[in-house]
Amino acid sequence: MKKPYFWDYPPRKDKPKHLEQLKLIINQTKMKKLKTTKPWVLSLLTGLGLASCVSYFDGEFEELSFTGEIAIPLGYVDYTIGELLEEVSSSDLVIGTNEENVLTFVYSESITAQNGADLISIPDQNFDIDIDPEINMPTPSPIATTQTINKDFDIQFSDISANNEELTMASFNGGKLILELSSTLPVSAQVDILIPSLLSKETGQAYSSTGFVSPDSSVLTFEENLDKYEADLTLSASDSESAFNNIKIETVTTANIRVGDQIQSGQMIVLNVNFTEPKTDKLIGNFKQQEVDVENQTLSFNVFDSFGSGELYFDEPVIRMTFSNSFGIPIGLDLAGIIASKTGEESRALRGTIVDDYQIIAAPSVDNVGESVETTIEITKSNSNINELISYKPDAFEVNLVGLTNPTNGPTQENFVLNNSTVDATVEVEIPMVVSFDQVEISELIEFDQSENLEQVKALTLKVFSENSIPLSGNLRMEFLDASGSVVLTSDQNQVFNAAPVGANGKSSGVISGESEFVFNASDIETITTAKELRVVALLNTYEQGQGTVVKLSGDDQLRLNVSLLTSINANF
Amino acid sequence: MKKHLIFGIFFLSTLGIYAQGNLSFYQLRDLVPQTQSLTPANMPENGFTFSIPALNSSLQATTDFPIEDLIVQRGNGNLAVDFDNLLSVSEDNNTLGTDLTTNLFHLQLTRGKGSFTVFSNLRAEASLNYTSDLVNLLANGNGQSVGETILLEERIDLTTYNEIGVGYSRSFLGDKLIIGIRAKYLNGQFYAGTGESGSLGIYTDPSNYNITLTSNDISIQTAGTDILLNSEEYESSAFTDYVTWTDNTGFAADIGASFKFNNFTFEASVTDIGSITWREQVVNYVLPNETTTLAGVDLDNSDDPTSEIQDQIDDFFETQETYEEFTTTLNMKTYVSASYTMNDAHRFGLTMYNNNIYGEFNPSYAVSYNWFLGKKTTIGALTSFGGQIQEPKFGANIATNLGFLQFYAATDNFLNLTKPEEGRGADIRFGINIMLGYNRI
Repeated sequence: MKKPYFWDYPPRKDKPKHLEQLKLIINQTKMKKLKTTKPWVLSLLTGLGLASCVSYFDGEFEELSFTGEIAIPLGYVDYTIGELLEEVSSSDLVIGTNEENVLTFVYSESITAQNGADLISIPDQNFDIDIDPEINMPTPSPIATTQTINKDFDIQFSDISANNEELTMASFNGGKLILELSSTLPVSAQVDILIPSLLSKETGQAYSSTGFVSPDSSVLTFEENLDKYEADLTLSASDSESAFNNIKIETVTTANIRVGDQIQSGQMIVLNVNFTEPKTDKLIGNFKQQEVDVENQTLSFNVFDSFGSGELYFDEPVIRMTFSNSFGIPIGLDLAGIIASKTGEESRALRGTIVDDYQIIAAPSVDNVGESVETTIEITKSNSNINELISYKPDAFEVNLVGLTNPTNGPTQENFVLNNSTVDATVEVEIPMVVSFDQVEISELIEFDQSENLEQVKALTLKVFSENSIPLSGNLRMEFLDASGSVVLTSDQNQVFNAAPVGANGKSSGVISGESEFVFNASDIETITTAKELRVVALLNTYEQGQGTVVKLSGDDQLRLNVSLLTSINANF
Repeated sequence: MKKHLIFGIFFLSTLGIYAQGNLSFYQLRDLVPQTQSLTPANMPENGFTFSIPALNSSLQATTDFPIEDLIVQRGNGNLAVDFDNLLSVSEDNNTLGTDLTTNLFHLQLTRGKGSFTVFSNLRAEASLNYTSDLVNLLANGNGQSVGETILLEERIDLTTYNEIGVGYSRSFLGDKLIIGIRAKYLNGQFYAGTGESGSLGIYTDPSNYNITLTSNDISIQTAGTDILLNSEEYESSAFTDYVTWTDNTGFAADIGASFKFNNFTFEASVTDIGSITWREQVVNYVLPNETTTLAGVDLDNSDDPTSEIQDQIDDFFETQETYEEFTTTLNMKTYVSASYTMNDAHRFGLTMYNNNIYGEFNPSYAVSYNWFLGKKTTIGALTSFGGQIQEPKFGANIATNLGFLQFYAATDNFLNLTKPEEGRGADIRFGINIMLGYNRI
């Protein structure tokens, strides 16, 4: 039987026929249950849909994940060359610029101060003077009479030092003058003592005293504080003009002779003159030549602590020694004792014309007592091998200076010393950055623990964009160290910044850009997560590396490093 | 933070709505009273209809891509969101859409040549227009777009509202002409919508990876989001009170007409002509037009670079807030159809639908057939194409009665029900009505 098409069915309004036709369809299509199931067709369709939904969506939802690349600027670091080198130096450097605006490292330290009291002093002096009254009378004396005798004496300070100083003046600020007067004469006598060399600081009057001695009297003692006096050590009993270290003493002895006094030869009056613990606050004279002790100094010079291998040449270093001298003594300085030392390497001594003769530290004249005179001694490449010593990257300078008073190549002048005279010295090592670097290695160790931050990072490219006006290029590598200090990963060595070009004046003449990247793969990052420290090692080269070109690094030169990250992230949220 | 969340939704959300046309449900217009929401010129054959509350609903979700392109099944059966896969199928501009309608009640009385309706619906519509740049950003980050500008011009509209309305349709010219109109009072609950021309440019400089952000006319108008997201900060009954009735009111109308000529019937309707003025719980976020370059931070003087970079981004997205009321228009829908009724059992139809979202004319077309088994039952099939989904879809519909209960269901894409992961969204409309008075004529 032919299967009816839908247009064979009767119109809807023909209800009885329609029902018959419907039955026909049901029979012919074997859909016997359509009549009873038609309300549930929706349920069937919906059920099919839901069932299929379940089949796909019954799996568990995984965490939302992101696998992509994020490019992000992390930040920037601006360095001047001073900051760059300061970063790698632990030295107490003062970084400034000189008159050419060239960056200059200055390292300064004060060295010994010589105290005047230590240079020269007068020890205790003790003198016995026999005063013979020269009584010319018969014995026993037939008459009673009075006889006066004037006598002058010289006493000379001795043992002032082992250098035969010729003192012409001493001003005391301590000690005692002790005069003891005793007599072996059988007569009484008055002794007037005048010390013209010992003048009162207050009145200018010479010291004087009077004593009476008799046969039965004990020793007469006179004590005087010396700090009231200053001594003119040029006076002498003979009025010699060339006297020095001398004390002139004048005595007037008046003897009272009685009838019957028996005066024997050799009987006399004894004057003991004692300078006990004399202290002076000023001495004038000719101090002659003597060595001045300068305490050995070691100037730790750790500016190069972080500099490793490579050739480093400083073209214009200067060691400037400035002395402030308030001694009235020119001092000659022998600089041959300046030695550059470096651990594990042979020391190098300062050489050149500067060590051929004494370098003179000028002194104030006696007309300028109390003042100081400054003297600057510069050690430069024109008078020494100083650029060789600095380029040697020393750890320290040993300063073993030897001084000599009144050197023969110095001025001739009357010397003086005050008890507070000093020679103060400042040593200044000035290193202008007029340099050439050839593969000079610097490094810096910093704490580094990024284990948490790198958890979801699968690859990382660290891009460094540079803008550099410093005529210095830098090749960088990174070394990652674990807790034991062992290097667990070393990055590639890349030129991170290029050297800026240099003009005719040796200074930077422009800005140069650079770009570099450090790529770390998943394995690298896994290793990096174990790191606790990061050592950044840079090889620095000046413009025209290897050709010995010396450049001047200006304080205005700047390096900007823009650090950006390109990270491949596989993160779950 | 709240503001950033909302802007985050704007830029990152992949959920939204771009409604298709209920083209299959439209074919049930002779039997199912709720089709008046599509074509008001509807004259049911029964005298009295009462819908069972909450058992008449429709859900439509439409995407430009099969769900399995976004939610992929791993080898172990697990599911995962895969933006890489989504990117491979994305166009320059893409759409997502969802339309949820729940019929709270529907009462219809038909007498003589007129039919009167009272109804209430809970409506939720959402639409998202997103660019492939956004998907690319989500899938790959900005690392593969260095030197290019990622231009995000995403648009989103999320609206929920109640509509309460009355409708009247009447036949003229010996039942050849039917004209229907529905008037609706609207009560808005939640809204979030972007401006018309907002864009965010993200440019990654290849020379240093500096990121330049350029905002242009970015704004989001919202209503009800605060009480939705921060309900714990309100009194316990506040949320319920708010969703029950708000000061966000509006009016809308649906109009339609049908004309029969011999065996042909021509119909046209325009629905959801109206607007809502949002007054309650309004917060408008405006991002000033500006350009900011994120260049990282001064590493030498920064204790926490990550936080500082985050602060820079936060500063850029710092919005200005206003609280002025605003008015949004509904997405107006248009149906135009022509059908040929061969006899009481067979009807062929051609239907065009446009939803006018963002003012676009992007119509869908359907060719349909319905088989009528009596005046209470029909089974139909259709194929549609156009609109947001260019590839052909095959839908089905059914309506039938069991006693005084009418059951109906319709879908524009039947295959979605069997293999939804392969479909571009989901679409189903179903309901149960109490239908009386079939013998009135």
